[in-house]
Amino acid sequence: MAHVTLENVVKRYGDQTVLSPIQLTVKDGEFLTLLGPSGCGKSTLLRMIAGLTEVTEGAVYIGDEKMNDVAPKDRGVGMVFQSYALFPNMTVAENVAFGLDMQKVKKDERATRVQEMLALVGLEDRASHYPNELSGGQQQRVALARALVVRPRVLLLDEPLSALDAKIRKHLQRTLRDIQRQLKITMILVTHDQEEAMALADRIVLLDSGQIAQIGTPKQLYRQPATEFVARFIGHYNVWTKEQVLHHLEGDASTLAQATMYAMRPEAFRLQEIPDSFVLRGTVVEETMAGNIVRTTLACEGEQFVIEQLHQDAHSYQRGEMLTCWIPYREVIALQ
Amino acid sequence: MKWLPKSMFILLFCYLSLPVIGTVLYSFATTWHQSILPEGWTLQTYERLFVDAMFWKALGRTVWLAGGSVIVAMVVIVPALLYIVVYFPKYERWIQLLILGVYAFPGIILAVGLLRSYNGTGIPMLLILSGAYVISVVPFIYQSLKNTMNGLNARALMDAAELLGATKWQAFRKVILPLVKTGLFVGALLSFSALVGEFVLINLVVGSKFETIQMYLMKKMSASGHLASAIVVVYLVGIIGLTGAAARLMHSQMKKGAM
Repeated sequence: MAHVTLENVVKRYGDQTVLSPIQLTVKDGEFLTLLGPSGCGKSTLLRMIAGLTEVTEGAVYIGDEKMNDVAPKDRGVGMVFQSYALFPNMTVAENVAFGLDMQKVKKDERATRVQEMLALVGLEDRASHYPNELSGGQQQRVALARALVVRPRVLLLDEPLSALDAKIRKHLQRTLRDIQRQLKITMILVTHDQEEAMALADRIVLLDSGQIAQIGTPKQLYRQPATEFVARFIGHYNVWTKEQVLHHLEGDASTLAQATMYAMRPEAFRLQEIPDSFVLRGTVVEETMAGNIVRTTLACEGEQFVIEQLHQDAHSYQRGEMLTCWIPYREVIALQ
Repeated sequence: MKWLPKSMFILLFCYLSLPVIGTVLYSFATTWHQSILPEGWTLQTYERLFVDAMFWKALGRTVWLAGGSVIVAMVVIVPALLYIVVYFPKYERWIQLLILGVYAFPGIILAVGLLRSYNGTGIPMLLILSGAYVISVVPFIYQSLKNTMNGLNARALMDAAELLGATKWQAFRKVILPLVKTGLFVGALLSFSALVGEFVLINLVVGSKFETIQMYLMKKMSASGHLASAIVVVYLVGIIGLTGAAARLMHSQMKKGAM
């Protein structure tokens, strides 16, 4: 268990800068998520913490120890890969025992610890199976046990659930969160799925083309997106320019904070009048079902925007029907 | 029209197998002139062959030269190839280009080139030849290695092993090597049989100072056709045995992979 500090970490391949100076501290026992679209540098950042990719500039600290020149095997870091990376020539138990074997742990202790770990991930009865006899979800649980059995100070997870189907993914998310709480281990998860990030993380670091776009709790990121990129990536935000806002929203414009761009959450719109709110009128363009919510696209003088209502409250609207919506003043969020 | 492909197959089979069958029969024949099958049968040719010390020496030299070259190739080439395949996949196309070069080089040019470059340098020509052999089997080794590494994310496996406390060498030895060893063995067998059959280079570069099985065969061909046939049969049985072993190994590996 340890905190991780990145001090102005930069990664360049030739002339191409993959990560601009990154300054970040992951607290001891924290579950941190590195979130971002593919190619934003999140996996590179994770691999630099692991020591699998060299740091061009800056320093990586695990605990208080500078790690730049420490080999991956001596960093006390565990890692789970998207491709599982289980050793196909070894059984489940042998896979889990590999790290203990490398640490020259005595045979009896090794067997007990392997058993404990397999029990933790619920695979005691699969100990003598080979990886290709297991399902994807089971394989990833073995990978998790294998990484945890050596008691790493930090556990790194590189898109571990991306290759799994939705139901198993949800189940493993819970398993991950439970294990993290139980072992109180520092975990850093890389994902491109904002729902996964929200469900798991204590804090989210959102990366955009090699730079940190915003750091915060899931709630902070969702309620107060700092930039247009964050607003668009994190939710189905409606992002309008100041001109668009002033033109289409009727109400007290002096309540708006100074900005050139504004974001409005689709679920902040109401179809009944509420006090201290802007009024907005539009015609229905399209209505889509997304399970528990109904998403309606409206057009207001050529400008489209989206509102969301809980399924149970929602009426069905006809295409071309005129709707009046209200949005509270404080829900029109100023972006940087 | 069903008979057409069938008869084509039979024709092709005969075309390919008749010379072999003829050679086998001839090696067991006393005389064979004006009849369809030999006029009499004998094992004497094989007896003569097997008591000839020269034959065993030639066979020994061949095994020594081909085997030695294959072992050197395994020790030197395999780690290099694996390192490139695992860590620098983008350079693999250069390897493929180099391999094409190995195939494209005519033996005669290679022989003359080797003689011109190294004759008189004091390095034994046998060693030079062996070096050329090591390079000439790279295509076999590379291809078998690639076949077994198909679908294997070797980079992630190495990374995983290293993060679990293994050194690069330990990770290679405990994880990668067991996974590719069958492929390597098949590659080694193929390389070995290719080198055993090599005649052009050894004849031109080293000559009769170092008589291999091919050269022994060449010499005996003018002395006795029966004896030459017997050598070919022994040689064939050996090669078929080796390729059979390689094929069986490949097959069992595939079954294991499909589990």
